[in-house]
Amino acid sequence: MIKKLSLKKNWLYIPLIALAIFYLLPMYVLLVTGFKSFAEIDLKTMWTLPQGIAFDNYIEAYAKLSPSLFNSFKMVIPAALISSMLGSLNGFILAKWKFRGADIIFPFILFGMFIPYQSIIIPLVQFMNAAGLTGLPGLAMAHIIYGIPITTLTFRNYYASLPQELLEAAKIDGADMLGIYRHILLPISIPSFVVVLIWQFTSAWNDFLFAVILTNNTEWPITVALNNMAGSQIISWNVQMAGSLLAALPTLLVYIFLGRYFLRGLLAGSLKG
Amino acid sequence: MNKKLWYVLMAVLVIGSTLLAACGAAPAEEAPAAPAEGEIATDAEVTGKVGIVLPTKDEPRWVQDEARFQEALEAAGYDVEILFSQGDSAKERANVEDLITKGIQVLIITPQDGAAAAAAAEAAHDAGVKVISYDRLVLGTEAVDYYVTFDSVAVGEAQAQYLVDKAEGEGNPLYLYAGAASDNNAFLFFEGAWNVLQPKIADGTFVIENSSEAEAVADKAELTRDEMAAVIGQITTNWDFNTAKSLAEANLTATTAEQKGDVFILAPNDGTARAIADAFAADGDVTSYVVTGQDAEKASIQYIIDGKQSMTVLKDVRTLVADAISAAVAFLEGNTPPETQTYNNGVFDVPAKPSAVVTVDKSNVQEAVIDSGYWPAEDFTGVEEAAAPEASETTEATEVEVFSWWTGGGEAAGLDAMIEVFNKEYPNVDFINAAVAGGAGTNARAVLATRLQAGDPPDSWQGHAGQELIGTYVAGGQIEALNDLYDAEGWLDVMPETLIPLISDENGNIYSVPVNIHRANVMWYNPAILEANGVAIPTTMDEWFAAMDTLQAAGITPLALGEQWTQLHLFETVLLSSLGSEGYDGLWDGSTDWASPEVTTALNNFAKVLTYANSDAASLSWQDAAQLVVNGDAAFNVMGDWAAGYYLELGLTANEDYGWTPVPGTDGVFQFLSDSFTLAVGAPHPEGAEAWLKVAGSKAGQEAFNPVKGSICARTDCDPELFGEYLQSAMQDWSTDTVSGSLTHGVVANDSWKSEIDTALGLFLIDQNVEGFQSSLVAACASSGPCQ
Amino acid sequence: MLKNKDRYLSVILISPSIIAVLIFIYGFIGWSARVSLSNWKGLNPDYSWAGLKNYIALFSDPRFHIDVRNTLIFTGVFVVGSMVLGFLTAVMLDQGLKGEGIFRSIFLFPMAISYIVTGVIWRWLMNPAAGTRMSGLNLLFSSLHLDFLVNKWYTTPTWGMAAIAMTAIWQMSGYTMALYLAGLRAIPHELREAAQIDGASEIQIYRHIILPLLTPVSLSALIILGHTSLKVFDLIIAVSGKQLPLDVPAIYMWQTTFDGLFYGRGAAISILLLISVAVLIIPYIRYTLKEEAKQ
Repeated sequence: MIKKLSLKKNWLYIPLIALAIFYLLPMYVLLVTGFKSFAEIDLKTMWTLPQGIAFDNYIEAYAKLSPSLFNSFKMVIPAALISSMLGSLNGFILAKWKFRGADIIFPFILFGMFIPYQSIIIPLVQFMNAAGLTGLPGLAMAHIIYGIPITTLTFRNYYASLPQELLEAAKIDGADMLGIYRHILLPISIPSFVVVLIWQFTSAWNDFLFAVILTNNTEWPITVALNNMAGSQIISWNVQMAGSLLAALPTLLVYIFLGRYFLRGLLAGSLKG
Repeated sequence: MNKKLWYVLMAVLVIGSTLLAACGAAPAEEAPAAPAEGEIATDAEVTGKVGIVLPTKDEPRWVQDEARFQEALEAAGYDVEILFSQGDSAKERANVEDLITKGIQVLIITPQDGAAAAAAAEAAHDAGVKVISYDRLVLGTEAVDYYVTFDSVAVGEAQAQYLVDKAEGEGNPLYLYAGAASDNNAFLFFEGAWNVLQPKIADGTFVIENSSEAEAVADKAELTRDEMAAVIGQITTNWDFNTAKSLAEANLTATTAEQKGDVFILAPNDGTARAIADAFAADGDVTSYVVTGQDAEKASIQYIIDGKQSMTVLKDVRTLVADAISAAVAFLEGNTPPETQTYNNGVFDVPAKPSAVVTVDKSNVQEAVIDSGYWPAEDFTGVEEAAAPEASETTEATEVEVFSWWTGGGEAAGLDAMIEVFNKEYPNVDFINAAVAGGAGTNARAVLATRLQAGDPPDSWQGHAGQELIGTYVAGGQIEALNDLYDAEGWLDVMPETLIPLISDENGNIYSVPVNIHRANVMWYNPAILEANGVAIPTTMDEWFAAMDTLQAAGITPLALGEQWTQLHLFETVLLSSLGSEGYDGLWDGSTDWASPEVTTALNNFAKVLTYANSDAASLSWQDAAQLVVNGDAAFNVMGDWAAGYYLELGLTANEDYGWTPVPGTDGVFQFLSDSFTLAVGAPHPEGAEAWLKVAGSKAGQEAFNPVKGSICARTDCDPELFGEYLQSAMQDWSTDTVSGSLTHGVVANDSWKSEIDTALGLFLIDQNVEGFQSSLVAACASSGPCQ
Repeated sequence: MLKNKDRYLSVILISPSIIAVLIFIYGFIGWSARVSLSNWKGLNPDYSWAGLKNYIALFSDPRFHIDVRNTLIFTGVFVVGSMVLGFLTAVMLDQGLKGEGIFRSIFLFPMAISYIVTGVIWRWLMNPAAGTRMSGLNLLFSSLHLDFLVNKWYTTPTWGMAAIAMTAIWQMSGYTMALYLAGLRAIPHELREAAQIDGASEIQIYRHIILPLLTPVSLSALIILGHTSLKVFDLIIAVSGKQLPLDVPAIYMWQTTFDGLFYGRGAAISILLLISVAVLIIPYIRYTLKEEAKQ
């Protein structure tokens, strides 16, 4: 642990708590509204606590969302795993196993991270249909491919920070490329994997654009179902908010339980410049 | 993975497991499964002699049988002797005794006369010969070891099942015909048919149209012999072509057009089926018919290929021969042939395993009748084309994907109500509700546009009647004309004349099925506020301004307004009010100049109206804005009449909590919009889509949908009693007012033009520059409208 | 040196990714670029050559001017806000206070939630209604007697975009915090100690030692935040719906393409967006690669 320069830092709690309140305000509204009855919903009383704690809204929301919840898992888990694996391999090759042109290929891949997705959905749908990749598999594939730039970037930067000697020693021992990757780099890549997996999991989970155009109603992931839950006339905000929380729960849990590893992963240099 | 690949995999798995199951089960019932001649391969070491007595050499069928038996049994290594009775029971008896003396172990006999053959059978039985009664049952003796026959009850069941499979929805007219009342088989056929049809009559799928006797017993699953006799007596064809034809013609004369349409006919055999089919085909009120048959006669096979008879039941005699041989072989080997059923011959129950019958229709006629060698292909014309189209029709009508932006509130509830009607009418068509939500349908529109671009259209989608339809989808060649459907369903008589041109191109092709009508130019007000401030309901623009001045002075927000599209909505009603309906309509066909001073006045009016609005409009949805009025936070709100549905959902009382009037200056004009459904070019399931459109255009469908959605029917014949107070007044106005179209909701301008106007409005809301607004509107008309 | 076998293997292993990127990114960009040079308007593709017509029209399009202004405001407020807030929270959390983990989780969690979820809540919180209908943050401020904070949020003329940026800061500052915290933890504490012994004040230490060392972190944050802000779309839709005062290029592109069927114009907007992203990204990529080469 780093020794602190000063011990009398307790005043720092004041801004920290103020900031925490800023971050938690929307969460508070989400929570209390989710427990209110329909009659209690009114913008003017959004800050007041619900009259009682009832889980009806959550039960109703779960009933509406559960099929999509599973669709989301079916799509997100393979998408996150496969794009992380690809990113790790690419990163390894681009950082440590440079062939001629590797330095051109890296920015070439990286640039893909920055395209506005709205502008490519028409060719995307055309391509996916032509390739027969419709529904959840197609959606997962889109997330994998559009995840390649950021996963490659993350792993490449991490592997680039590792000393070359690590590999040279193994090479002298006769290990080939895949052997080095499997036995030397993969074991120490765990923190980077955590960062990338979290990142990919969240972005695929929260994606709406690809989901709404690539899947049909039996395969809609949670974001589309949530969006459709809001009727065009009277919206049951209490159920809507309960549903929102349910939809956010998997990613929230991922952050809460893996948050420390996320930081550790960043610390390991994986997202440094 | 590719979805199609999944289906293939699934199919392989299912077929594979079925095969496995079949293999596993095979040893238990191997014997009589042999299908065709020449395939009886049994142990050649077993020797034995089989005697066969057939009725007559004068009928080709028995001569064919002779050859089949001879060939098959000899191939299997047995001795065979076949004799003919030539229609003489005495000869029959002599034949049997002759065979007994020749040392046969098994006798296969088709009695000339069931009762008279008893003595012959007994003689054989006494000599230790196993007696197999072939195709006809030997009656009144225990000396019958086995009976080989086709199951007449199963034939009737197969006929009825075919009708049931083809029927969709409820109230299908059913016409019943039977064989001769003197023939026991006629009773068995009818019994089988009744077994399958009765539950479907009881649940309303079918309505019997030609037999009061059958109707009288329609709730009885099992009929007594006497009840059956009564029914058959009324519908008998006597197995006679002419009787059948005149009975059918008499039935058609006695029934009304409502009892016809798409009819279902149970005809007992092929000869009568052709006669009945001809009679029905000649009746103008019969739009389609499904008719059964039996025997796979050549003429009927041709009828099936030509689409004039729907099906026949093939009783392949070769199967019967094979089953008889199998039974004989079983006896020779000291085994017992399998027994699945018994037939009472007056003395005891004779064991039997009825031979399989095959249902033949257009989809399998090639395979079942020609490929199997039952009839040669050259006897028919048009065989090759027969199978393919029919097969796709029966498999693909199983679903329909309908795209809309109705995912919540009254809209979704209305859609659900209409889907319910659909599911009742078309229980075999799976309804896929592909509704996608999005602010005023915009996400939905993007998804739709993307799918159309990618050549992956839904079968049917929601589109506003008018230019959104004609100027966008029709112009893009994305939807099919529906004139045939309009003719078939008689919609031109029930859809308003004003509406049809808006969903048609200049050639008179009609492109969509409107389900509802909404009114756009409605102003909602708070009666209490107006009363408290002594404000009368304004009827002109000037009165409206004066009223709003009074309210503003009293510290009340005069006008509730919401996000940008609600301002576009307000804008179109102010245009209509200022220009009058003729001037307004002229904006969209180029006869009113956008640069004219009248339009300038209209724009100034609009700018002035905006000054009375709440300051937080940009943050309010249309519901929020509508709610300001009933909450007493504002006096007026201009919104389409879906607001009435919203108020209803809020539990408010019409004319008490809220009142309505046409937007000032638009009295007598009904500014409308209409949701309609289309048929995609290249729809993956055209039959399903057509079924959906039929429901969407039907009275039942619209009456289910509209009261819930809060709109009036597009059809003019809906029952007003089903609707609330506001909607009844709207129905009244719709029938008397001048009709103009809405801009915001796709009637008067195509999508591009509308979007340009929307942008111009957005810029005006920021800079409040009327002159700039007008010049952008002129530019918009030039770039995307009719102004050049 | 690379053995030949390994050279081939590495090319084989990376080629699926390259092919995918080639098709799904560059192929589709190429399609967009082609469409942007066409007259395509309406549902049916029309690739007839229009030259730079669509681009030229955009440069004199008042709506596009609003978009550019809004994007600049949004990017400025969002990038600066997220970086400052992220850096400050990181520094505070780096002090080894008790409960650091809890604060860290609190600051990080908004990242986990979709805009579809948070947009609605922010819409409520930033309700601009006044008087008896006052609600949301304004109501909160007003009841805490902080009336000077009451404002019209995203309906404020011109600067409404800044309110939207605030919600984006809420969403993304946790991520910058995590980046900076990781960066701070990576700085050897001997450096700080040495400076302390030299008599430098804490502020001086941060300014002259720590901040320069964090330059790479700041750069990555800048890139990630910058390109996010150029592409911002669903957050605005979720908070405020589609309205011109809060219009940005991505929304204009979406609306003009899918509501108005101006495919050529929509594609031109997306290509302009891409070019501005490239202007931001390419120097960064060159810089980092050069830095690496130096090491």
